[in-house]
Amino acid sequence: MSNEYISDLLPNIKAMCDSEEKWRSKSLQDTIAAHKEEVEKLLEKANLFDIWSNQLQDSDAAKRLIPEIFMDAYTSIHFACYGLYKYAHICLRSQLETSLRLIYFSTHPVEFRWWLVGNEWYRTGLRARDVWGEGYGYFEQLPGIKRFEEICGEAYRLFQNARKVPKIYQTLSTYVHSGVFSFQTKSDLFSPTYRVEDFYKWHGNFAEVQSYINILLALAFEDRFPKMTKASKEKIINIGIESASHQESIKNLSGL
Amino acid sequence: MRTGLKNNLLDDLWLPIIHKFGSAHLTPSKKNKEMKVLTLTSDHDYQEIARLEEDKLTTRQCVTAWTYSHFKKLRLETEISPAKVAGTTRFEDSIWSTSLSIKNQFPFHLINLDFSSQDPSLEIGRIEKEIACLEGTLKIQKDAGGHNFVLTYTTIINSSQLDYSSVVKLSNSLLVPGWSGLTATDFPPQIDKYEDKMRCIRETLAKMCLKYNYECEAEAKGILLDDLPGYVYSVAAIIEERGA
Repeated sequence: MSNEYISDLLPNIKAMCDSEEKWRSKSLQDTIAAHKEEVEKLLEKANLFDIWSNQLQDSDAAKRLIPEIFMDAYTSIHFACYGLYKYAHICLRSQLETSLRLIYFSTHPVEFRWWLVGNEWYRTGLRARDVWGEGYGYFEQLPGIKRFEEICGEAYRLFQNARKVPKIYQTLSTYVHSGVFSFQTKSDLFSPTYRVEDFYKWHGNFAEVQSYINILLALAFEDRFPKMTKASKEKIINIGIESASHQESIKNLSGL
Repeated sequence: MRTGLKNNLLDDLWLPIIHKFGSAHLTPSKKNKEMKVLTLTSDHDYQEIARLEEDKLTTRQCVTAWTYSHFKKLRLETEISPAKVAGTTRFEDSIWSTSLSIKNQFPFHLINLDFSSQDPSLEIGRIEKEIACLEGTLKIQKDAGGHNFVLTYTTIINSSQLDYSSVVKLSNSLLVPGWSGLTATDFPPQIDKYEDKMRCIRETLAKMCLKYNYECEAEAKGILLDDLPGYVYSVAAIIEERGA
């Protein structure tokens, strides 16, 4: 923002703009200086939604929700680079939730149209927190996910045993509901600042969320994923999915 | 596509053709021709929009840019507003979709299908898909009542064979009454040489125009790439409805 523009502002807005310019540029510089390769890789993960967007373009739900899923990932990186780790995590919860909704809505066009106009009768009618019902039973019933859970080691299962997805969802929810360990401010530090331990905590969660989203989309759209070009499938698996065990299971199921 | 290459095409091929079209088909008295433009472009090299504006051929309000990437769309929307930015999917995949987001914006005066700007993956079958997309674009333009327009097609021609038999098969699967179809024997089923691929693209475009009752006056240019074996090849055509 130009100094000339700032000088014309009212005093509180001027103070805010002055201060923001300082802490934002310092946090961004410190983060990029320490983690440029890591941030680059996370951006590559976010860009995988270009492939999903292209592959699922005939789905109304995908057309509306994938841009939001991308934007949550992008904004999460943006916030984290400015030291706003709590808000970076909130974006991840939103991203995961929207991805689960995409899977549900892709085969529930009527419910999708209700949801688009804000008709959330399921909250009372189904007594459920979300469109897919209570818990994660809906996803466990999907044939692709069932097969994946069968061939995956117990320690790697998404919904059963290891409960990877419910666990990360719960972790991210503590940021939404402001659990004390997820506060943005610390007793000894108030301003948004690059902190290596907070960066790595967020970085791990970001990679984990992208990984589960890519796995779930590949399994839920099991008719579409194998039809992608070899290069696209390899990108999704090698860049998008974290654990070697998960990568192998997806390769196995998609005949790669 | 790199900035220098695009400037080269703009100066030597695209703009001369567009000006020629403007003089023949757009209101001569108007200071700004306000051409309705669709351009496949990228977030860094979108200078064709500025050049068209400088030459008083269009205004930003008349431009729709298409880009394959959420990130690029994010940046382009900021940079070229109030132009519209569509996409995040591959245009050549979207053209056949019943829910093509820009379908109701057709017809355009200028359609710049610069696939080299869309981070092409250079996989086998890429050019064949792009040629099919040319036909899809002509069809939509025709259905929307587009009588006369400029179409530019730009691609990277590398060492991969061009599968002419699949070009013929795809095109001939779209039947048009009175059109006998592309002839499979016009080119070998697999085309190897750069020059033959360029000739095939140009001649196929001309035939596709005939199929949709258009005449096509085209010029082309190939520019040798310095970082990989092959060319950027561009065809710019004034397309006019026959008998109009």
